[in-house]
Amino acid sequence: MTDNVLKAGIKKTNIPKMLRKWGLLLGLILLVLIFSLSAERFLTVMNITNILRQASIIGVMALGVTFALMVGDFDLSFATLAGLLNVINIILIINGWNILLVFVLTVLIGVIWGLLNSFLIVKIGIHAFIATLSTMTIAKGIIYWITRGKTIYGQYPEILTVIGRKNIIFNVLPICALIFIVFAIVTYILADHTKTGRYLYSVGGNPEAARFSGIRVGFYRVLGITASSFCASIAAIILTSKLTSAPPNAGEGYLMSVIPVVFLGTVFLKPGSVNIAGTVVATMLIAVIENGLIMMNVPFYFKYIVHGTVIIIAIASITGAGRKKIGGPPLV
Amino acid sequence: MSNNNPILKGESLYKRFEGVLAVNGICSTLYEGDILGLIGENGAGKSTYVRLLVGEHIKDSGKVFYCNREVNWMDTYEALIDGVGLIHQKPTLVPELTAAENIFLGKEFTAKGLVDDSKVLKKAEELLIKYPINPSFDLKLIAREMSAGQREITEILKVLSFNPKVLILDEPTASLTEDESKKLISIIKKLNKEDGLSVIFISHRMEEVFNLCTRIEVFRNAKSVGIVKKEDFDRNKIIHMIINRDLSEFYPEKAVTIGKCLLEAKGLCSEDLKDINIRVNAGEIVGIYGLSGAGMTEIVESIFGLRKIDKGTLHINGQELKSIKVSQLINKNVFLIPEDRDIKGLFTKFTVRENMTISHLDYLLPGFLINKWKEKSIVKRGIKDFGVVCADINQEMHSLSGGNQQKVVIAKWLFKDCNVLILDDPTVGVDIGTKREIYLMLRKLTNKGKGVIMVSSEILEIIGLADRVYTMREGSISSELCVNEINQKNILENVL
Repeated sequence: MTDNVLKAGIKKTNIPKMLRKWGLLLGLILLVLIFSLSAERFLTVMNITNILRQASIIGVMALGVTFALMVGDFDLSFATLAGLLNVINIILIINGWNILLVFVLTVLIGVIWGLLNSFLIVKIGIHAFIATLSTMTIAKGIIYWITRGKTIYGQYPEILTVIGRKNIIFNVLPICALIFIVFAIVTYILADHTKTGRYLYSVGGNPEAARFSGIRVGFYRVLGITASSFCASIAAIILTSKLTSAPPNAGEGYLMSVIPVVFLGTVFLKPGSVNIAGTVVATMLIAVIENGLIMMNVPFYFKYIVHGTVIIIAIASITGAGRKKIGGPPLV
Repeated sequence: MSNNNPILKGESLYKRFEGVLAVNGICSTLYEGDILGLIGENGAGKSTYVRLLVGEHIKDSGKVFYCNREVNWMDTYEALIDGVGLIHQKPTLVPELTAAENIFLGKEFTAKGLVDDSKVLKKAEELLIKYPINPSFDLKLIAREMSAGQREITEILKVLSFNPKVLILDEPTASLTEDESKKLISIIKKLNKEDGLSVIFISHRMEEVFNLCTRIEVFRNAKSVGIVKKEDFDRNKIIHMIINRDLSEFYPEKAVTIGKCLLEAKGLCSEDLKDINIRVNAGEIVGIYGLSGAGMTEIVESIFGLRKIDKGTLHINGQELKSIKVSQLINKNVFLIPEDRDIKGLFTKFTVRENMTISHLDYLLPGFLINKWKEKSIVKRGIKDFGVVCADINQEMHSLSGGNQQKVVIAKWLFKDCNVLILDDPTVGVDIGTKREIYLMLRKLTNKGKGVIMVSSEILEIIGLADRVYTMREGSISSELCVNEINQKNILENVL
């Protein structure tokens, strides 16, 4: 009998629940509308191209971090790693290395970095937060060691800027945004439509139950943690192409924009759990806010206040505060 | 002794967890100086009911009266201060503190603003002399290093240190030794007689309840189904009330033919296990029974490759397994349905669909991508075959009742033809109807020539269901009972 009651309760279309699930996308659309009406330069081809370009580095990094969180771990080192890879890229390129070769090397170092993080977390058993905090600090040390704290720049072949600055399709779509879109689609399919994705989620959801189901928990944790560093290395390639120089602090700033994006994404579609679609929508939302505020001539520091507030409101909407009832009649 | 003044009374109490009614309008009265026994199967609502009384769980509706006035305790400490103490089945202690420090946590004795450790210890010793459950109990033992029984003793002393007027004990003897249990019962009797202590006593051990209580109230499926007075205590009658039918018709018939050996563990040794030899033959349900902590879970998890073993071999269909690994056993169609389904068996945030297919994804849906249409039809078939009641296959797992959750956990393994099914206490928190469905399903499996190993904390279940029983004591097998030797006396003799 109780099950029938349950059944009836769930079959009703639950509007607040739908709103919670889709609210982030709704917010994004609303924001685009508001900014379009209040800032005339907002809805122009050039500006949209701009937003896409801004979103791509954060977006690619955020997709990677989503995987680390998916398996129940964490990554703090990805942004500084991207900064380090950028330094290495620029030094090699101004020394005349083949660009393609440099970028292959970038990805290789990224993957090795991820395996190192995994080794510390999975094999040695250091908490992911502490392990990647340490490797982040080490990366930072190496950056300042190599650069002596100065921005590195020099002669580079013009082709280097293609990824970061050129557009395709009627000069609208930046190549870096295309990379983000491709990554978004591939990771979405991987996470939500393959067995690998199902196992990644299950390891993060309940490692004990995963072990009892015969899933190789360690392997999938390594995969999730390494995915984060791999994506950071792709982001580093975009970064190099965009900056064509290597300021020592080029990467680390992304930590504080990417982590909030991933958590904001947990509001979307699967409330309370990281997911690729959520990360993508959240990336766009933050990029639109940032750009829109500039277009409205709001002083730059307001963007931080708006960022923080948006995240608090969004996460509060899914924590369930105020939904628990104490007392009241029985639900028979 | 008892008179007719109600001292603690619950009136129309309701409590719902995740959509499941755990307490469904229970009214129950404890009289002054009375010892009331609460009895019923796992999940019948006994523990939840007493927790509602003392405010550990907040009631959805209903009233609690104490000494004829309505009370709304918000936590157990408020109740304890007012004179109602609850002793938990699994006490939570501060792991870093000693027994004595845990007993006086929150009311430490101080000298010049500092905690007076020696006085805490002295007072604790006085308590132990006053209530000698185990006179040699070490009060300096750190909670983290205690056994379940030692934790229980600490909790009992802690609650008694408040000199309560009403004492509620939730299966206090489940983790105590026989001697300790006897002493506890005599202490309760003494307190009842001399100080007029009123007691609510929850236990699965019927003899204990018969010996101690003046009245027994039976709970079934979240409701109170009747009260029996001391002069009418009768084993069969009470069992009938608990399971709503006679024991013989509640369980399926025992095995008719027993075939060849399917799985055999030889000389398993590990940190917790001593020389374990067990086997299961085609067509039989093998029961493993022991007191909590005697090593039943350790055996089945070691067999399934989840725990490190130091010595011993595993043979499946007569062949020795080279390495005991989960994936190996799954390949050989040996499956384990673990205890504690929230932690080991379920992905509570996953949907019913995702939970059902997770263990056999490669087998059910070959290929890299998951074909969601095919998955849907497989899951729908599973739901129908196992009678899972859910609104939608994409419903999140935690919104299902315990019984339905357990059906999903079992179904997820049985999509693939099984050879041996191992179950670790599968009927905890499962309603009676579902229990019976699980029993029938297990018997159906064995009738098809499969083997079943079942660990259970419910002695009635072992007696009713098993064709052969291994009893356990302190990490080793203490006896093997064949079908005509399985009875309560033989089992208890070998586990205590």
